Formats: sequence, C-alpha cells, structure tokens
Amino acid sequence: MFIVAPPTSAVTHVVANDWHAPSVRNQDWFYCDVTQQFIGDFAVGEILYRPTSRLVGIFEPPTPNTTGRFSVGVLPKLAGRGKTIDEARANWDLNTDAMIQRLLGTQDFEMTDDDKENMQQLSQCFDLSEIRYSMPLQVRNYGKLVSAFPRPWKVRWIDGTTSEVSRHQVPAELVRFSVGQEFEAVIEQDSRTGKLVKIISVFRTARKRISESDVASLLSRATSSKDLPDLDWD
Amino acid sequence: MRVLFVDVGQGTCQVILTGDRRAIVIDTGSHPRTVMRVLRLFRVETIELLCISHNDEDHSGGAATPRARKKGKWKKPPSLMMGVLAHYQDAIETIAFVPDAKFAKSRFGKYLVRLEDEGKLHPEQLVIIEAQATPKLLWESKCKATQLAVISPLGGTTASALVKANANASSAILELRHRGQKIVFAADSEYSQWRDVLRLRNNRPVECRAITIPHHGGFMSGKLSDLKWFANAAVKADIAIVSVGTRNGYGHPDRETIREFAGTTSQVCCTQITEQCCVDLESVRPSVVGVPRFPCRTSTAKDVKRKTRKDGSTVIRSNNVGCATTIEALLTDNGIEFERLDEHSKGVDKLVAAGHTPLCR
Repeated sequence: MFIVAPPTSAVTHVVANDWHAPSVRNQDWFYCDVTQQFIGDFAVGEILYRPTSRLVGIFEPPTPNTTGRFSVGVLPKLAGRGKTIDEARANWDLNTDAMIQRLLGTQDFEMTDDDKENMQQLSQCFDLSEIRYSMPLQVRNYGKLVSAFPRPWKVRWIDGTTSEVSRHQVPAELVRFSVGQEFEAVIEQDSRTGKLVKIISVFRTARKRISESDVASLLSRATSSKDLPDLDWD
Repeated sequence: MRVLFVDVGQGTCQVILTGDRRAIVIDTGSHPRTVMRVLRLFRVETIELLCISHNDEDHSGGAATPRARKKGKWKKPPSLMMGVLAHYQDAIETIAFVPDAKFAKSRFGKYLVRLEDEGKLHPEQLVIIEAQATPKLLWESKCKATQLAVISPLGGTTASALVKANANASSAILELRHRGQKIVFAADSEYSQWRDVLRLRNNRPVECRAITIPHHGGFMSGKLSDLKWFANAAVKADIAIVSVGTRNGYGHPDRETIREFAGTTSQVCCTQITEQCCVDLESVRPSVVGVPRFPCRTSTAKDVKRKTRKDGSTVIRSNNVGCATTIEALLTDNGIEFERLDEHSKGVDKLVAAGHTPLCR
C-alpha cells in the first residue's frame, strides 16, 4: 500500500479492499489510506450486524506509550484496541457487539443517561429492532426419535408435531440414539416463524407417568399463602 | 417497571418486567408461543414469580407442555416450544397457584412433580394460594414501592369453590400496587368472589388505574343486576382491559359487559377485535392500532381462511386480528402510565367513521 498526496479537488477515499476493484484502480484521482476503513456488514458469533448508514472507522496507529485505537466518528464511546488496524477493528466489533447486546437486555426504565445516549447513537447506525428480532430463540422441548439413519431423522415432539431434520441440524449425540428414544432437547427456533433451525443439544430421558397422587403429595409439602405477610385493603 | 398485558389470543397473560432481566408472569395463555417470545425477546433470564390464577387451559397452557395435536385437527402445527416452566426450570424463584379441582389432572400440576423429581424444583418454591381473610403480600420490589397482593380467593363461598369443578369461582385475584395506584388482575373471577371482597372492604369499591375484566369480558355466572353492581359499584377503574381472541367459540366479550363498563368512566380496550365490533376484519388487520409494537398473537394475512360455498360466494374466516394488541403500562415515580391508548382511541374512531359499531362506543 502507498499513500499519495490527495488532489485539491474532490477526493475519493478508497478502502484497502476496494483497491483491487478495477473501476477504482483506474480512477485518475484517488488515494489509498490504510488508517481508514469502511464498516460494512460484520458478524460476531451467530449475529450479523448490518450498518444502516455508511460508517468509516479511523485507526490511530500505536505509539510507544499506547496501543492503536480504532473508532467511528458517530460512535465516539466505542473504541477497539490493537497493534494493527485489523486487530483493532476486530476488537471494535467485539465491543460493539457487547454494548448492543447489553443494551438490548436493558429495559428503558433501568437505563442510565449514558445508556440512553449510547442507545440513540447505535440506533442511528444499526437497526436494533431487526437485531433483536433476528436472533433465534433457544428453547427447550421434549421429543422422541421416530426415524433414524439410513432414513431421514425424524423427531416427534411432545405436542404431536414431527420435524424432519438433516444431519447438519442435529448434534452428534442424536446420531447414536435408537428409534424410540425419548429425549429433552435445546432447540434453536426462528423468532418470527417458529421454524426449527437446529437442535443444539439433547439429553436422554425416560418420561415417567405422573399420577394424581404424586401431585397431591407435592401439594402436601408446599407452602401456603396463609403464611405470607398481611396487607391492608388499600 | 413495565407491565405488558400480552395479546395471546383467547387467553390471559401478563408479564411484569421488573428490571435486571427479571420478570413476573401472571398466567401464560393457552400456548407457550407468545409468552416465550415476549420473555426471550426482552432477554428475561429469571422468573421472580410465576402465578397461575387457576387451571383452565387458557391461563395455564403456556406454563407446561403444549397440548398434543389431535389427529387431523390442526392443519398448521403449533410452534415447537415448551412452556415457561420448562425453559426457566432452573431460574424460577417462586410459583404461586390455586389448587382447584382441576390442578391434580392438569399438565401444569404434573409438570411441577416432574421438575421436583429431577431436582430442579423444591417444594419451598411453591406457594399455594388458599382461602384467606385478608390480602396477602405475594411479592415486593426491592425499593418497596411496588407490591403484588392476593385479594382472593377468600374464606366463604370461594373456599367451597376450591373443591368443586369450578375453577373460575376460585381464581386468584391479584393487585399490583404502586405509589398509591393499582392494577387489578381479575382472571376469570366471579361475582361471588367480588361480593366477598366488598364485604371485607366494608362495601368500599376497589379503585384502580386498570382492571382486566373477568372471564375475557364474557358472561360471569349471575344476572344483569350483578353485572351492573360489579361495573358501577364494586370496581372503579380508569381503564378496563379485555384479553380476548378474534375467533373464540364462546361469544366473548359479552356485549352487555362491555357496554356497562364503557358507560362508566372506564376506557375499554380489547387485545383483539371480534366480529361484534367489526364485520370486515381483514380491513383492520393487523390491528386497530396499526403495527403491533410487542410480540403478540396477532398474526399476518396467513391467518385467514377462505372457503368457497357451492353457490360460488367466498366466506372469509379471520382470526387473530388485533385491537389494542399487547397493552403496555409503565410504573414510574408519578404512578402508573398507560401507553398508546390515544392510538387505540383514534383507531376506534376510524372504525366508527367507517360505519362499524365497536362495543366500547
């Protein structure tokens, strides 16, 4: 990479990655800046973050006393640290993910002024509602294996529905189950459609039939509201 | 804190978000799908209190396992999801319920036994709501500004209802008290319970910011005079909330009940709209207030069934069309404030302008 002096006329900032694009390379006027980077879609774990506007990150190279710093102008409180731009950018991705996930789990009535300010700035850069609703739900379910390899794996869930799953959607443990095995599973489900995405983990279980006497026995050992503190009527 | 009167269709469910990823759940609707979506989308990790007012399916169905599909009955399978108990089995602090006649046979009751067998539940976590003579403190916030009290079932007629197969007459009635104001969760309570409450209150009416009209706004066992007494003398509420599904087979909400409450100073809000209020439901979909703001049972245009008759005409059966959908209240330092009620009022005005006859007007 090299840096040339920018012309006095309008300048096109070129991302290091865009350098290889012919349309950019053939421009008569451009320069390449290794201290800046466009922020496009990025993934942290299973979550994909799509900026709603074009964000430009700026990298301040390390000095003898400090590490390098990567930040975005519209998100001044988020910074990534690292010796190189790539390292600092990766750290910025993680910090952004941590802040967004923390704020999504914080109710508006328990947010501090800083939280509200961060939330407002982040909502200008990302569609936070989309992130909230696109995260798959992880929930539990009980099922029974009704069909196994070499036929397609089929699971009948406790509510009577049946799911046909491919090998890529099930953990290795399920492959060892024999037909008829009942199990408890943690499944990932699309939060909008309810469709099964994958089975994350399974645990063998033998479901015992519960009788009314079992329930009565539990009731006899439970506490009562009569022992709770009294209150006035108003 | 935030209180959500969740639109679960024909059923009742309230979620109180207490902060720090904790929540209180009062009834769970008939299926776990909506209540679990609300809890997971708000990143709730701990259930401080799960309260099941009584063991009818439309109140406790979302707590345990979903009802098994009857062969050939459902064309669209329900979502694969266990209930609140299953998912939060290691993170429920207290479970309060009424041991009515249906409890021993209910899936909810049997699931509690299963959790105890697996070591995930201790009997000390269970609170049996039994007949008593005074309100009892079920839950209190750390700053003690907010309390959840049980005011029924009480000794007297409701005590006998506990041993009869009438779960409604022993429904737990709860009061959320916050800075001098209240929200009353009336579940499917009946007039006999309210007469007991008023008797112990020396006939002073229950004044509250909002009440969930019992039995989904439907007919409670009694006469018209009982209804008039309840709506005008027993309870004085600014807002009356009805949790009802569009296509319920019970005729809920009852026309007289809604008109009686609408005739008082209460603003009546139903979670979903029925044909009693609007004949052309598809023109209102997804809801009277527009796009729902929270997860709710209100579905998309896929929840419409079209049937062609022999004479060539088409019959449209709409389901899960929202009215106010999930209703939100915020508990602030000034008291209890409800959100989006103006939008509901404007939406109902549009219905009236379009020639429909909503029951609340």
